[in-house]
Amino acid sequence: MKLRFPLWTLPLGKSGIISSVNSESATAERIRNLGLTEGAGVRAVFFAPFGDPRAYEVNRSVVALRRKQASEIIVETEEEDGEKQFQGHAGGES
Amino acid sequence: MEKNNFRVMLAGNPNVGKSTLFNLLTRKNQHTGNWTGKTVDFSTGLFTYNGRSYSLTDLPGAYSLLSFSPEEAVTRDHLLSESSDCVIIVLDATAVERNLRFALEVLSVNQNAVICLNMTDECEKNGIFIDSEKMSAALGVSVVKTSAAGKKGIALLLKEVEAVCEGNKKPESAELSLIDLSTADSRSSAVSLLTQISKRIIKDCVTIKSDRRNESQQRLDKLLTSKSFGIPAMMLLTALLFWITLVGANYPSEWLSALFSLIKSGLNELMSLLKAPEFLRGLLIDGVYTTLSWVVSVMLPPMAIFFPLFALIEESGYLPRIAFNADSAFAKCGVNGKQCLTMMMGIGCNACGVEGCRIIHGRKERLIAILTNTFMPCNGRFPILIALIAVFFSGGAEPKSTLLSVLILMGITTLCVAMTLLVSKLLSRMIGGDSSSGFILELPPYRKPRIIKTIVNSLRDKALKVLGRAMLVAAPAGAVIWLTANISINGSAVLDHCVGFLEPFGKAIGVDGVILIAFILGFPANETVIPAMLMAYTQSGTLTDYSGYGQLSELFSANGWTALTAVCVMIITVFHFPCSTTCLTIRKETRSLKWTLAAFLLPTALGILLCAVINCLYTIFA
Repeated sequence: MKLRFPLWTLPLGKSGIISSVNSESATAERIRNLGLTEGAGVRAVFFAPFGDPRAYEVNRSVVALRRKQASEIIVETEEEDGEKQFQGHAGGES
Repeated sequence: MEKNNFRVMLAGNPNVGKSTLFNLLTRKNQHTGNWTGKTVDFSTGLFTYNGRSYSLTDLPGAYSLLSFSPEEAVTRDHLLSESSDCVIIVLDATAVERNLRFALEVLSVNQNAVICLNMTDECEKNGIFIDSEKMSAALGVSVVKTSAAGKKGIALLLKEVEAVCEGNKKPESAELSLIDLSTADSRSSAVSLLTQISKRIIKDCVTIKSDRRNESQQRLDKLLTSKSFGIPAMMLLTALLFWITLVGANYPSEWLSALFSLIKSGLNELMSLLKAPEFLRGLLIDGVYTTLSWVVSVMLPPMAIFFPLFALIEESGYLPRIAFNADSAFAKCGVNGKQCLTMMMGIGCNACGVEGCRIIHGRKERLIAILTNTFMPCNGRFPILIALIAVFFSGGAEPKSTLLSVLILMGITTLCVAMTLLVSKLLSRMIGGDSSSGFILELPPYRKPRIIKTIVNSLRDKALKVLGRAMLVAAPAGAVIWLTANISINGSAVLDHCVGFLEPFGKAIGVDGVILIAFILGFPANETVIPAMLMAYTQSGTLTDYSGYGQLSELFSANGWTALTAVCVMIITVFHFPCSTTCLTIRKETRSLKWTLAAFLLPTALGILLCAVINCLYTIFA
């Protein structure tokens, strides 16, 4: 089974596949222009000192997103031990 | 259009090396940096190849022709409306997936193109291999592998451009001609078709070993954005930058002024040989020449050290990381972390910083970034701070006093940033309009700066620019100051009347009339502020030659300056009306007289307020 959740909750170092970008159209366009398109593989690579924004790697380039934008992007991963990983407190945020 | 003059345009995603290529071909020195949005307006240059002359236009980077951001609109309009003979589509080979999408969009409106696959050496190091012949067959246009930074593949690129311009090469992609981006209806089907084609080409022509960046890049990012080290690293780098500038600027400044005073006595002798009238001698030598030489000897050395160093940092790709680290503070103030980038551009030149605010998408956020940009001291004002610190707070060159200077400069910078944030927060509450545009920023790969080239370029650019401005602005300013000091009305000089008029107001905020006059006369260019002060203090030709900070100190003290005066002058240096160039740029960017006026009054009011507060505190506690 596949798990779907907002990109923001993707823990540091984990990856997923983007299934939808739900921001309003101008923002969504800017997000897609940077390579964060449906079907692209994305990985959470590092977080800012205060936890927000966070940086995501897609096709070897890195894009920084604030919580708001990263929450509007939905990613999916294979389940594995996902249940435990993706329960809210992901990412060690303050 | 002349038959011999072909028109070529450079288009591509942001930060793919268009400007580097532009500089290489036209031998111009367009400023380049490693971050998205460095070039926001287009520039044109000429080059010749095989006896033909070409005009080359460097368009601002765009991610998509379908987009509506101002900097991308410039690019789109040009590609659609201007008749060019050839478009060079520059692609960053290391991010070929995203770049190819853009190339396809351009090809669907204009197939007189050559694809320039840039940064190929970096990309092969990262395990990405592109079959350019296959790609060329798929796209129907030539694909040339280049490395603009390393000057590889340029000859081949030019050959292909020539072939397209002369019409020897006909585009061959029927598939792309079918795509119609012009109407809204056809757009969504066009977009999905583009995506399909792009995926297919990537699959056929590109071999990618890994979707991950290389290890060292990742480690560097983890370190420079970490909770414990990210912010200290930022501070440390700033401190280091200031330290090198302060230590380095001391001696050249003295050498230059010694040289200038030698020339001055020569010029004086020449004047007496020519039997020139005293009025002319005073105007030209005591007025124009002295101001010019002060501008150069006080301002040039710190600039010549600070700006190459800053350019190196810029080239490395670290600046967007600063924006990334700082964004949460900006978010709390209701503005955008990209403002951080425009502030850093402002350190170079506020007019550039204001123009750079185009990278901020939200209308309100952008306006705030424009209004507060002059809170960062530009290269015309920075040396004023350095000179004052050296004169009043740490005269010697021993490590202890240099350290103190660095700390004071850090303090001033912190004040600038704090005020920017505070005022941004207030403005964000006061100005109505759209909500946050979010923070969506590409963090480019770190690159090793081309050290010598960067230093030489920024030295030449800055040195030329400073000298040019000095000639244009300081010379007439020197003449004006000298004239006002030497023409009398009712028995005293015009300058004295002005100074006397402003004196009470100056005293009220801890400075004097001369200082205020100097800032007003510095409106065309802040570089002339200190020369204007010196001229006014030593008016009527009795002036001692400036030779190093020691003498400045004597002169200032003789005119009643204390450490408190110096603090107030430093505050006014940072917080006062923008220079004329910046005002014009603000007018152009905001298209509003009202906001230009606001940008003029806001820092001025803040400066007066801060000075008043400091004077109050001083009288209470001292």
